[in-house]
Amino acid sequence: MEGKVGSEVRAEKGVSEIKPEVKIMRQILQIGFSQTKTHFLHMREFCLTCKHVASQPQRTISHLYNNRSATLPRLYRTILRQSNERARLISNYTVNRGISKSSQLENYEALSLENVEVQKYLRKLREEHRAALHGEDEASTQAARSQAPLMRLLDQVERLWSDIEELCALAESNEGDKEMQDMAREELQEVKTKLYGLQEEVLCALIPEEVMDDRTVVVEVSAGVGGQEAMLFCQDVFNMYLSYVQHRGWQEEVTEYETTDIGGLRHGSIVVSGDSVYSSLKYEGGTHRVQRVPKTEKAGRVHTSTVSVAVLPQPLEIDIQLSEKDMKMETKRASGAGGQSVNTTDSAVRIVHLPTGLSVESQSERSQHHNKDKCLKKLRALLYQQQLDNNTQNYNSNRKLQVGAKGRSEKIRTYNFPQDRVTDHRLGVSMHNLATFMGGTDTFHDLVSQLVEEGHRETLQEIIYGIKT
Amino acid sequence: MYCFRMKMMVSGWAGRLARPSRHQFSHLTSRLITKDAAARHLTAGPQHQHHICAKALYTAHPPLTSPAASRGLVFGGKVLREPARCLHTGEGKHDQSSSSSNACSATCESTVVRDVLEYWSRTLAAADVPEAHLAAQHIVAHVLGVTRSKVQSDGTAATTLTGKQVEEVERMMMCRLERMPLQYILREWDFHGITLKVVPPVFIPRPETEQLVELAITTLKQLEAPKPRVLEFCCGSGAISLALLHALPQVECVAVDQSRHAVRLTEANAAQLGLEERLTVVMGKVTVDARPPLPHNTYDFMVSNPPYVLRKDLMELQPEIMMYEDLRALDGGKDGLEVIKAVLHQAHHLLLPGGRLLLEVDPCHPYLLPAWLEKQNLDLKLVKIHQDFGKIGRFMEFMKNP
Repeated sequence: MEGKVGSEVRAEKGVSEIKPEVKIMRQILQIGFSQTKTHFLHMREFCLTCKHVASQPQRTISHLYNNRSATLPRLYRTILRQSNERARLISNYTVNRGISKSSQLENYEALSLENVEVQKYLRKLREEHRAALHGEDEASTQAARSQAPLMRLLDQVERLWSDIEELCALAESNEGDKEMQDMAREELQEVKTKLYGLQEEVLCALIPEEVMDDRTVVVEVSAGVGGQEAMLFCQDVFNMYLSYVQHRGWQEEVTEYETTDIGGLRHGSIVVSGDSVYSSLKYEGGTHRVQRVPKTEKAGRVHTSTVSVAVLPQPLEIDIQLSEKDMKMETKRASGAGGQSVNTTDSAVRIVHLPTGLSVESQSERSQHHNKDKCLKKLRALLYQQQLDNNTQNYNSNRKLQVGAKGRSEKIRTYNFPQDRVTDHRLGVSMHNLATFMGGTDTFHDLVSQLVEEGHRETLQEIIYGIKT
Repeated sequence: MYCFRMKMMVSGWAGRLARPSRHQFSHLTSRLITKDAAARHLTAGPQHQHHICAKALYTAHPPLTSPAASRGLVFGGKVLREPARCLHTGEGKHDQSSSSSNACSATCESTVVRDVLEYWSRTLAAADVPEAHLAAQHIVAHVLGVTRSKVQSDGTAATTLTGKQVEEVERMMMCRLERMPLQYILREWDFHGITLKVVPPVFIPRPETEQLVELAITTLKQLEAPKPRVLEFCCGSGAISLALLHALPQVECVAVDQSRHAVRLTEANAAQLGLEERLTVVMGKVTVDARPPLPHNTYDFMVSNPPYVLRKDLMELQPEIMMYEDLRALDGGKDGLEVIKAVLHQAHHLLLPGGRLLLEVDPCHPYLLPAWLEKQNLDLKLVKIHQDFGKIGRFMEFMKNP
C-alpha cells in the first residue's frame, strides 16, 4: 500500500510540471462533476480502490455528493488530476466492474415534477384514469378507485402550479406597489416549498407497492470459498444480521445453526418476520467478500474469502397451490398390511412434485405428519423461488440492484479489515469503522436505507422512462 | 443372553393362543421399565424363569464388557450358559453377534457420542433389531435431551457422555435389544401436532392414524354445529381425541376404552397437554348391544381406530408388538370385524341424523363390510373409502341417514 502511495506521489510530481495536461485534467474533472451522481460515485469508488482511504475522515457519500463543489477533499482532486491515462483507467475500471452498464439510467436528471418525461407519464396516468372512470366494467372501476388518491395529489399539484404562475405574474408585473410584490414573492417561496413536499409524495405514490414487502423471510448465510476463515466470517455476518433484526425490533427465530469446532459457522438461517422485512433485506442477498488476516493465518497474509447470503420470501399457501394428484408421496413404511400390525419408527417422508420433477425430503421429525408438513413447506418455497426467478428475468436486466434480488452468485459487498472499510459494489459506497458496521445497528441501517432508496429510484426510472428489455 | 431369553419366550407362547401368554410378557415388560409400579397393575402370575431374566436385564448395566459376559452371564454366583443355538436368529448369526460384542468392548468404553452411536448401531444391527441406527440416534438424543438432527451434527457428536448418561443409554439399548418398541423406551412419541406419553402395554399410535385425524379434522370443519360433540371408541393413549382437541378449539370429546391403563394414560396425556377440560374419559367395553354410560345421548361425529387385525395375522406380528403391546388393542376376532361391528351398532344409536363416523380398518374390510351392513337393519350408509399413503383403502366413512 505504501509503495503505491509513493509511486503516486512521484507521478504527481511529474504531472505538475506539465501544465497543459493539468488543464486537460481540469476539464475532465469539470465534465465529471457535471455528470451524474453515479458517475461521481464511480470515481470515488476508484479512489478508494487506490487505497488512499485510510487517511479519509468518515463521511457518507451523500454528504460528499451534496457538497461536491465546495468541500471535495484535496486528495481526490490531486488523484483525479494526475493524467489522461488515469481518466481512461477510470472509465475502463467502471466498465470492467460492470457498474456502468446502466448507462441509460446513468444520465438521468434528478427526477422532479418539472421533468418532461415525468409530466408525460403523469398525463398518461390521468388519461387512463379518465378512461377508467368512464368504463363500465368491474376492472375499470377498480382501477379508478385505486388511482383515486394519486389523482387527488395531482389535483393539488396543479392547483399549486396555477398559484405559482399567478404569483410569478404578480411579482414580476410592474403594476402594483412594492409591498405587494414582496408579499407575492414571499408567498411564492412558501408555495414552492409546499410543492416540493408534494412532489416527494407524488413520486412515492408512483412506486407500486410490492406484495411481498411485509412477507416473512428466511435469511440464509453460508460459508463460501475460503475454508475455515470463510466459516469464521460466516458467523460474524450471521451475528450482524441477527443483531440488525433485533435492532429493528423484528421477530427472529434461528432455525439452523451448523457450527464447526473452532467456532466458525458453516450454515445458519434465521426466519424473520415484521414490518417491511423483505423490502429492507432484499438487497442483502448475494456474495459478501471479506479481506483480512485470518485468525488461523501464521504468516500475517491477507486472505480473501466469501460468504453467500440468500434472502427468500416465504410464500403464503395461496401463492402456491399444490394439488394432491400432482404429488407423489413416499414413506419408509413397510408395504403390505400396514396399520396396526406394523410398528416402525422411521417417519421419513419424500414428496415428488410431478409437473416439475422437484423432490423434497424430511426425516427430522418423529411424526410422519410433521415431516410431511415440512416437505410441503419446502416444496412451496422452492416453487415460489422458481416463480420469482422467472418473474425477475422479465425485468430489465440493466438494474444494478437486481443482483441482490436475483442471483446469489454475484459479489455485492466487500469487507476489508486492513483498511477498516466496507464497500457496497452496487452503490459504490464505502463506509468506515467495520466494527460498528458489523454490530448491525445504525451504521448498517444507513446502508440498508441507501439501498432501499436507490431501489426506489430505479423503480421510478423504469416506470417513467418505460425501460423494458 | 438375549437369545436365551428369546428361546424361553418363544417356547412360552408357542402352541398357545396369543392372549393368555401375553400377560406373562407384559409382566416382563413392566419389570424392564419401572421396577415396582407397573407390577401392581398387571396381575398375571409371574413365572420364575422370566422373573430372573427380567431382573438380570435390569441389573445388567455394562454386561458385555466383562469377560464372563461374552460367554454367559454371571448371576447369583452361577454362570448362565448361553444356549448353543438361538431359535430366532440361527447359530451363524449368533456367533457373529457375540464376537462383535467382544470386538467392540473397547469402543464401548469410549464415552464420546459418536463412538457410542457407532457401537450401539452395530450391536443392534448385529442382533437383527430393525432400524438399528435410527434407534441408537433416538436413544442418545433422548438421553442428551436434544433433537435427533442435533446428535448427527459434528458439534454434538464430539461431546462426551457423563457416567450417568452412559448408564442410561446402556439400559435403554438393552431394552431395545430385547425388542421393546422404541416408543416405550423413550416413553413419549409425537403424533400429529402433539407429543404423547406412551406407556406399556397401551397401544402405540401408528402414522396411518395421523391421516385418520386429518380426515376427521376436515369433516369437523365442515360441520355447522358451534360446539361439535365428538365420541371416540377405543381411545388407547388418547391420540385421536387429543389431536382433534388440540387442532380444533371448539370441539368437545368423549373417549372410551375398556383398558384401565389406556384410560389412565389418556387422562394423563390430556392433563399434560392442558386439554382435560374438554375431554371426558369413560372406561367400559363396547359390544353390539351394550356400552358404558356416556355423558351425552347423541353426538355430532364419531371416530374410532378399533382393534381390526385378523386373528390369523396376530401370530405373525413383529416381536415388538407381540411381546409388549396390549394385544386386545389389535385383536379384531376371526374376521377382524368384532369390535367394528359393535362400533357400527353403537353409532346407529348415538349419532345425530346426518352425523358421520370415521373408522380405520384392515385393507380387507372395505370388501367385507358393505355386504354385512346391508343385512343389518342399521340407519348407516357407507359414504366413502379413503386411501392411506400406501394407496390402500384404510379409512371408511359412514353417515347416519338424515
